[in-house]
Amino acid sequence: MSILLLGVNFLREQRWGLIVLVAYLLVFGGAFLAGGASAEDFSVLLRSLGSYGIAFAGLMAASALHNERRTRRVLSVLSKGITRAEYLAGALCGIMLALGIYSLGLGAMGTWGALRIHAPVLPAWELAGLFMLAFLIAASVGQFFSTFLHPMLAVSAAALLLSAEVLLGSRAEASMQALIPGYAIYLSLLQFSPAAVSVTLQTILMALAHAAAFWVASCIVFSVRDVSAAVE
Amino acid sequence: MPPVLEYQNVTKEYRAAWRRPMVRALEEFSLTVDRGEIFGFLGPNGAGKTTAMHLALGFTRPTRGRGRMLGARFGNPKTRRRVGFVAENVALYHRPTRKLVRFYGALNGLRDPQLASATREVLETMELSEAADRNAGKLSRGMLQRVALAQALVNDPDLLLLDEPTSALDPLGRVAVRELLQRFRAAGKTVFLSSHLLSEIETVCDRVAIIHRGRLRRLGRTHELLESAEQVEIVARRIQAHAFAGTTAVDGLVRFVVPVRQQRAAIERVWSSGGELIRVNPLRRSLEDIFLEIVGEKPGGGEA
Repeated sequence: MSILLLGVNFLREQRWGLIVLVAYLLVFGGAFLAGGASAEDFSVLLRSLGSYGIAFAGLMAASALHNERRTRRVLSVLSKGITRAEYLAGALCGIMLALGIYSLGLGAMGTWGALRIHAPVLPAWELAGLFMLAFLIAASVGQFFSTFLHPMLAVSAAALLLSAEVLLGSRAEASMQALIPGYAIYLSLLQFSPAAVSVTLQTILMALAHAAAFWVASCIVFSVRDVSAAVE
Repeated sequence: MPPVLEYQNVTKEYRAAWRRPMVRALEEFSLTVDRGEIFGFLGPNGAGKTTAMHLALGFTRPTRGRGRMLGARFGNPKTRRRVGFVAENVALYHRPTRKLVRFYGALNGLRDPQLASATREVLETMELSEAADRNAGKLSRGMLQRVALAQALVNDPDLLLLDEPTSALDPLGRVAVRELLQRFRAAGKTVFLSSHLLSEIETVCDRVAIIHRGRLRRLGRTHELLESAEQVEIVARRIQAHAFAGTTAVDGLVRFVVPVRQQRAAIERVWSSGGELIRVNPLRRSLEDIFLEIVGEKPGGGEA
């Protein structure tokens, strides 16, 4: 319950950034599709709009903790009966709520686009779901680095780590690729077509495990961090 | 009965970093706060008061030593549900006051209908009912401090940790908070209060600790600290005003102050000169005098 409370509170704090992002999605995507787009254009549009969400997830996660410490609001929250793990889970929950709204917008945009090019609607929603997994991975990694790095360094470190996963996956054997969630999701996104999305249950489970592992690592680091001193 | 708050030889050092020397905020600091008392915690800026509170809440960890709050080790989340905290620099989310207080109450495990009634009561107590739907981010500093007190009280805590809780309040607000703390004490609860308003501490606190440069310098019951053990005030009549040094005479009453060790001799001189002793009292000092004496500052001057 506390996690959801913190999540909703975090979502509220991030509302202006989210409103701008969703407005961009609707205005830019709508204008693009209204102008008449081919199946390939449509596919590129959805993936590029989704990738903005990945960047947004990483940035939000990397700066959340820093902002709370800079404003000292973290003290009023952590003086209550919640653990630091709940606090981090609440922040992650808030980021995922924000990106859940963005994914709904992405799915709606995809539905409209699919109807215009006479393609099935379901893949657009599957793509939105796949992006949710990508958002979760980006947010959990960003949050992990933010527990001990400045937000700019944290987001850079998260980008480097996820890029390294993709690089590693591209050079790994096919049987190993599914075990590298960053790469497996990247591949699924790359192979998206308005007709179908190829994602396996294994990829989904590995992505969830990846996020859980980084969240646990965040909790371990944050549990020993001094939050009493203000950060600049 | 175990103490509500206990520090055992706690040292807190902030590590040296690039171009920043190591800072020792607390050094071998030991203190116990008992149930049902209002405990005043004094010290100049940077003395370690806020660090001591933050250690109890688990915001930071002691470098050495340990402590317990409400029977559990410092930083226990379950224990924090029974604690209310007001930070020195009030920083709250920009939400309507009622929703904000509800949010903090819910984080402490309160649920409706108790949460709704506790929120209503605490807003009334802090005279915030009219501002209940106003955004806390747009309130004045004094009003915001009331909101901070409201969020600390919403869970009906057993222990209040207050770091400068009245610094932005007007005199009426301070009186209201003082009465609130006295009611809190009457209910058997405990207040650990840090403030620079020495008159406030003097009025309301049962015991006082003065900390300076991370070390405990003075600890005792407030009235005992205020009554000097070193000097007494003697008031007599029918004696020559110039018979004693430093006398003041008003309406035939002569008042003078002597060191305690000369008290007996002074009284005998009054009697032997045919004077009448009116009263002999330990000289009462203000907390400010004691504070300045301990931190080594003369009023209006530099380091002693």
